[in-house]
Amino acid sequence: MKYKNNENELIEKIGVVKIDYHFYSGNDLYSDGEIENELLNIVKNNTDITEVLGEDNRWSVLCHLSPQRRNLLEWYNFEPNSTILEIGAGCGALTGLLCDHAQKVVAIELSKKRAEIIGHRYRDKANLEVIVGNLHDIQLNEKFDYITLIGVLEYAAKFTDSENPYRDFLIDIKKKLQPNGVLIIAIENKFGLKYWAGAKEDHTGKVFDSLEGYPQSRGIATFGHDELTTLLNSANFSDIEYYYPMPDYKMPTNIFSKDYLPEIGQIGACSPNYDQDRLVMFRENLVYNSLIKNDKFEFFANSFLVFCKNRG
Amino acid sequence: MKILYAKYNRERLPEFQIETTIYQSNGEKNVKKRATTVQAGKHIKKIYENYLLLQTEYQSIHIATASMQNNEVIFEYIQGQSFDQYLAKALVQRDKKEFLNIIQRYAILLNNIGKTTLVGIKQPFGLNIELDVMKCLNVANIDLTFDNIFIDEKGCYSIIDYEWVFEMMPINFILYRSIYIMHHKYCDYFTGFIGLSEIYDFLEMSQEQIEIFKTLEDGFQQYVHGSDQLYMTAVNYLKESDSLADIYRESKRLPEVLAWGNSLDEILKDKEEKNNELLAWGNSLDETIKNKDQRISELAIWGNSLDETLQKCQATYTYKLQCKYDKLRDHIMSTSFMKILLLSNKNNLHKAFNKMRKGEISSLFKKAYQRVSFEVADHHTINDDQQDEQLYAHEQEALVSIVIPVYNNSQYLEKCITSALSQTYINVEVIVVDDCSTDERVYSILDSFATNTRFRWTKNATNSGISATMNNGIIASQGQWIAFLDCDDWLDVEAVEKLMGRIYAKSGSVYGYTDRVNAYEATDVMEIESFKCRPTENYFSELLIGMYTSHLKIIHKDVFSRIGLHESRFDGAQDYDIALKTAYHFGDSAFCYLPEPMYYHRIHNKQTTNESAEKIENIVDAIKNEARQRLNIQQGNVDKLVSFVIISFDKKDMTLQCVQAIGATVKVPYEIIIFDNASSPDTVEFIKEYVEILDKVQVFYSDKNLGCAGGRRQAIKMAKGDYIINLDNDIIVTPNWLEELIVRADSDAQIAAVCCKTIFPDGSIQFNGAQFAIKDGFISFSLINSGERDTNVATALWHDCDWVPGGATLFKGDIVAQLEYSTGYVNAFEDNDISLQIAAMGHKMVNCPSAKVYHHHVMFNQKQADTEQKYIQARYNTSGFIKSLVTFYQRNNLIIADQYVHELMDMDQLSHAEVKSKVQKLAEDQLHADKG
Repeated sequence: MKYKNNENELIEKIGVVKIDYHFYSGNDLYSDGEIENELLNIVKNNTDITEVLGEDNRWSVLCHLSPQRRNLLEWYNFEPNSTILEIGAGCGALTGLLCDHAQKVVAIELSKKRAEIIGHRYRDKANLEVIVGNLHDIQLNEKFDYITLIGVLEYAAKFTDSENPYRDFLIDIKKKLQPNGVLIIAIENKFGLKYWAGAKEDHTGKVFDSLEGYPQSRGIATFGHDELTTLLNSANFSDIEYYYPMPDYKMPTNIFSKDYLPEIGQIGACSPNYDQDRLVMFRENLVYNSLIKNDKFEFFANSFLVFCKNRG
Repeated sequence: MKILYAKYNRERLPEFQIETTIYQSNGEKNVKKRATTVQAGKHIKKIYENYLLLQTEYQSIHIATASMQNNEVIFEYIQGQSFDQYLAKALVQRDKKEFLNIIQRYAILLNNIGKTTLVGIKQPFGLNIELDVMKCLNVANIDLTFDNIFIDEKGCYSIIDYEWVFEMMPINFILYRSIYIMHHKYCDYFTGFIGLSEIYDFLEMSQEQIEIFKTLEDGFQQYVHGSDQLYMTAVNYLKESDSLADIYRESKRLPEVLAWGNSLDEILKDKEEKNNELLAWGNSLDETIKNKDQRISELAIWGNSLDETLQKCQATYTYKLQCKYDKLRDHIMSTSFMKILLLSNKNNLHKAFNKMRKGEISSLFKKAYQRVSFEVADHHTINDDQQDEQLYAHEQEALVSIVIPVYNNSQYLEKCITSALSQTYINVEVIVVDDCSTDERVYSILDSFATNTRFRWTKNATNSGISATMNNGIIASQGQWIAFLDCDDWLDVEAVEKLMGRIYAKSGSVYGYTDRVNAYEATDVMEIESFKCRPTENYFSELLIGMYTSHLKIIHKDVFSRIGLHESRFDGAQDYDIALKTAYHFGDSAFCYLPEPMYYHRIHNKQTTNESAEKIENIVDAIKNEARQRLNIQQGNVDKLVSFVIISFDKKDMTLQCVQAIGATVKVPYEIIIFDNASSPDTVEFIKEYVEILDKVQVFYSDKNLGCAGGRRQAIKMAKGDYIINLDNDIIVTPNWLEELIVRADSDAQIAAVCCKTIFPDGSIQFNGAQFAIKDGFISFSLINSGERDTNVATALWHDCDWVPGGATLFKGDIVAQLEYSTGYVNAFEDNDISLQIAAMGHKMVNCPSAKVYHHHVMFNQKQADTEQKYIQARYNTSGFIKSLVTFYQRNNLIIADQYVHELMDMDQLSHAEVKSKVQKLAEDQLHADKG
C-alpha cells in the first residue's frame, strides 16, 4: 500500500463526490482495458446514454451503462435514512440507484479508473463517497445498514486468502453490517438453465463450466440454490430471502420470488447472450414450463438475488 | 410490506416506462404501478383515469379496483385464473374444441363489454387508415389480452389491467392482437395444433381486416416505443447463437469436409514433394551455373591468350611473308595462270570447277576461278553451260563504300583504314573525310594509302562536325551501300562480306547491322556486345527505348535520299536519328541483323565524339521526341490546325488530285482553302461538283484573275491554321510529307518557313530550297538543286535557305499574321518579298529533303503547255511581270536580275545603269498611276 505525503492529495473531489485514495495501491489490477477510457469520456462529457447505447454493440458498454441494470433493485424498499456500502461498484451501474434511496452510500472500487468513472457519472450526488482500494485494506469506521455484493461474491477467492475464502469473506463483510443490517447479493446460479442450454459460463467463457464445478478453477465460483443458503448460514446470516431476476441479474426485466414464481408461458424464449456467442441446445422457455410444472424453477433460475440479515 | 414480483419495460419511450410490482402487506396482496421516469408520471395518472372511465363504461364486467397514492396506482390483486391460463391448458393438452370454445367466450365477452358504434377514430396513432364500418368500442381498452381478464369460481370476469385505453377502436382489433400476442407467447405449442389464420377465420375476420389490424398494431407499437425504437437497444448487442440443429446439420457435412480435408492433405503432401524436387533441381542448377561461370572464365583466359598468340603471329616475319605470298598468288591466279589453264584445257577447268563445288578448293581459289570465269563468259567461250551461268549470276557484288570520318586520333587510324581495305569482300571503296584534323600525322597516314586505287580521301573546308563529315563521305561515295566506320575503330576482315551476305539473303533490306566487340584500351579487355536480346521487329518502338543498330552498319544510299542525310544538330547521336527515321519510313523490313561481332569498337579516353554526355542526352531526347511527334502527326494525334492554301486556275483534274492527295496523307485537323482565280466555267463547275463537296474544303471563286500572287494574298487571309501550307493546284503530295514538314518547322523556334523538296514527275528536282545573291543593287534569286535528280544523295542535305518559293511551302501561322502581302505583285516575286520580310524579322527559312511533293508543272511538259495556251497567257502575262518587278524594286530597292523578265522588258541587252534608270522610271510611273 502506497501512502501519499500530503493528506489533501488522498482525497479528490469530482463534483460533490468524494474520492478517497487512502487505500489505493497505485495500480489498477482489474480493468476492461481501453473501453474504460471511452466510458470515462462518455460520463465526463455527459454524452446522452441512450445515444451511446444505440450506436454501440459491445457488452462492456451495455453492462456498464444500461439503465436496465437498475431493474435489479429499483423496486426494493430501502429503509429510509439508511447507509449503504456498495462493494465492487464497478462503473456505477447501480450506484446511482442506491444514492437515490439512501442517506449515504460508500462505494468501494479496486480500480482508480472505474472510481473516476463513478465520480464523474454521479458528480452531483452529495451522499456518495468512493473509496479506491481492496476491501480488506480499507478501514471503515462505521457499520452500514446495507451492504451490496452485486456480481462480487464469485470473485471472493481472488482477494481472500483463506481455506474457505467465500465464507470468510462473508464473515468479514458481516462485521461491517449494522445489527439487523441487510446483505444483498446478486450472483449467477451455477445451475442456471441457460448454462444447460449452452450459454457460456459468464466468468470463464466456457460451456458447462459452472455445471461441472469449474474443473480448471481460476478462483471463480458460483453456487447452486441450496449451496448458497448453506454458505450464508455458515457465515451466520439469517432471514435468507431468494429472488429470481430473469433472464439474469444483470439485465433483468422480471424479478420473481419464492412467493411469486413464474407461471407457464411467463418466461421468454431464450436467455439473451449480450456478452458472447452461445449454443442453443433447447428451447429454454419450454423447459422452464416443464420445470415450473414440477416446482423446480428456483433451482434452475439463471440468477439469484438474495437478501439476508445480520442477526448477531 | 414485502414485494413478491417486479416487472419493467425500459424499452418503451420514457413517458411510458413504468414499474409493476406485486406486494404483500398484512397478508393481503396488491398490485402497484409507478413511474420509473419523471415523464411517465402522466401515464400513471392516465391509468387511474382509465379505471374511473371503464367503471362507468364497462357495465357487465368487474374492473380491478384502483386507487392513487403518492403518484402510484394501487390495484386490487385478483385471484383466479386468466383466460390465458385456460387457453394455455387447452393448448398444452391439444384440446382444440376447448381452445376455440374459450376464444369464442372471449369474443362474446368483448362484443358485449361496452357501448359501440360503427365509426372508428380518425387517424388512429397518426395512421392514415379507415376504421369505419367496423364495430368499435367507444372506450376501448385495447390491451384486453387473455392474461388481463380473469375468471373467478363463479364465472365472473375481471379486468386487471387498463394501461392502454383509447377512443373508438374496433373490437376485432382487440381480438386480433390478443390472439396475436398469445400466439407469440406460446408459438411452440401452436405448431401442429392450430394456425393463426384458422383462429382468425373462426372469428370470421377478413384478410382485409387483418391487414388493417396489422398496420394498427404497428402504429400502436410505434406509439409506445417510438418510431425509431430508441430504447430497444439491447437487441443490437445480441451475439451469435448456434442452435443444436445447426450444429447437427454441420456435423452431417463433416465426413464430406473431412474427405476434402484429406484430399487437401494429399495435395499439400504432393506440393511439398514437388517443392523438394524443385529445390534439389534448383541446387543442381546452381552447381551447373557455377561450373558454367568457371568454364566461361577459363575460356576467356584461353581466348585472351589466343589473341596474344595471334598478335604475335601477325607480328612475325613469316606471317607477313605469307600475306605477301598470298597477294601475289591471287594476282597470278586471277590473270595469267588461270587463263593459261583455261586456254590449254577447257575440260580440266571443268574438273577443277567440279572439285570446287565439292568444297575441295579454297574459297580464295573459288573467287579467282569465278573472276576468270566472268572473263571467259565475256569471251563466249563457255556460255553454253547453263548450270554454270546460274552460279556466276549469283556472284554480283555491289560496290560498298566504307566511309570513315576522321578527326585526329592518328594512332588508331592506320589499323582502321587497313581493316577497311583488307575486307574479304572485294568490291569496296574506302572514303575518308577529314574534318580538319589538327594532328598532322593524320595526313601522312592518309597519304600513305593514296596509292591504293580503292582508297580516297577528302578534307572539309572547315571543321564541320561529325554529321556533315559523314554526309560528305556519303556524297563522295560511288557505291549504293555505305558502311560506316569510325576512325578509332576497326573491322573484322569478313565484316562487309558477312553483313552484305546477310543483306542479300534478306530481300528488301536496306539497313544491315551486326554485333560488336568493345575493345577497352585501358584494360585490353575485349567484350562482345551482342544485340541478340534486342528484338528484330517493331524496330521503331524498340529504338525509342534505346539505340542498338549502330556498329557495324551498312545502309543503302536510297535510305538517305528518302529520309535526308545526317542532321548536324544531332551531332553525337546522328546515327540514332538515322536509325529511327529508317524504322519510321521503311518499317521492320528495312533492317537486317547479323548476330556476329564484326566491328571492333575501341573505348578510350580520346573519343572522337567529344560532345558531353549531358548534351548527347539532350540530343537523344530531341531525337526521340521528334520521332514520336512524327508518329503523332501521322496518326492525327495533334491538336494543331493545318491550313492548306491552294491557288486554282483551270487544270481542274490536278486540283482534284491535289486535294485527294492531301486527304490521303493528312490525319491532323486541317482545312483546305481553294482560291479559284477566275477559271473557265467548266472548271468552276467541275470544282463545285467534285472538289467543294469534299470534307474540310472551302472554295472561293474570284471573278477575275488576280494572278498567282494576288490569289494567294486573298486566300492566305482566310487561313486559320497554326501552320499554313501553300500549294499550287498541280502539286501532288507524298506519304509522310506533312510530318516531315511540321517536325522540321518545330525543330527550331527560329524557323518560320519550310519548303518541300519539289520534284517534277520525271524525278528531276524543281527546287529544294532557294538562295539569292545581291550585287550592285541587283538581286538574283536561284533555286537549290534545280534540275538535279532526286536520287542524288547530295540533294538529301538539310540546309537553311535565303528564301523559300511560295509554291510548296509551310509557313507558321503566327508569322503569316505579321507578314505584309503587297497588292503590287501580280504573278511573281511576292514569295521573294515575303522571304525578305521573314529574314528581316530574324527568322529562318529551311529546306526539308524528306518532305517530297511532285509538281506537275506546265513548264515541265511542253505538250501539256501547248494544249493549255490560256493558262500560259494568264500565268505569264507581260505586264503582270513588269508590275511585280517594279513593286519589288519599290519595296526593297533592289532590281530582280531575272533573265526572263528582263527579256520581256527588253532590258536583257542593257547595262546595269540603263536597267536601273529604266526601272526607276517605271517605278515613278507606277507610283503616279497608283495615285491617279
